[in-house]
Amino acid sequence: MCGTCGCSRPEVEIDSQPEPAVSSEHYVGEDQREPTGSQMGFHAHFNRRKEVRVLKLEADILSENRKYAQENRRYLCERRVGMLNLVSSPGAGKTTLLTETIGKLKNYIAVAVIEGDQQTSRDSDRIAATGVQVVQIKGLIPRCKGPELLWLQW
Amino acid sequence: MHELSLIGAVLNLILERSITDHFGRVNRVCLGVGELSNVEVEALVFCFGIAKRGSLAHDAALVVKSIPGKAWCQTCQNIVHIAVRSDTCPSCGGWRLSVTDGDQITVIEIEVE
Repeated sequence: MCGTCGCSRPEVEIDSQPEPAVSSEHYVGEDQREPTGSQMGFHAHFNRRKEVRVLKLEADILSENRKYAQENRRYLCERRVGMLNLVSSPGAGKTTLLTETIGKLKNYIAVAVIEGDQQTSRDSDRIAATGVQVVQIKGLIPRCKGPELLWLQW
Repeated sequence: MHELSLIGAVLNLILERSITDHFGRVNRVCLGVGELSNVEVEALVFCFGIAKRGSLAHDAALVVKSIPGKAWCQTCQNIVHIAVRSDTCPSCGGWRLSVTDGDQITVIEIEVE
């Protein structure tokens, strides 16, 4: 019988050596994948893990993301804020489009910009020069230029 | 899309399940990626190859299944297939479409031992 869990499956063979202390965790780490010598104390738990199984998960990876998105939509909707998300390749003209649009709109509606730029504050400086409020976010996703967000409040 | 964060979420899920389902290693990860999810499969595979190192999925193969994009056409009153979000209805050519499927990323199954 196994001294760790009390199991007594017929295929289990117990090594005469005392079981290593870690075996009480019933955990097979990377370095214990191939049992040798005293590690045979892992027997049953090890055998069980050797069984190849397929787990059907059907787990939605974006579900957490969806929750955040829904919360953001609710927050903006309550405050009657329209949000536009501008995403495109570097150099495509997002900031130019923004500064031009802001120039035409800022006297009629309240505008603010969230600028995603990992490298420099050049773009957010250009936005700030138009006189509207700008916040720069960086550091969340390394080496990835995030979207610019234009908030239009009316 | 942020493929590296997505792979991070997949690896976190695997770690959680390794505790509840008692497994110590993963041989294969099968993901379902919707046509309309904006995920770049090539980038996803690349990120998986890097992020899996040292995890339970260290030696795991990645299988990606494409899930077709589907939308409800208000004009046709029918579900139609679209490959990208900017597509018009293949039957009537109209724009009155709302996406019903194919915008998800799913861990369909994992092979473990």
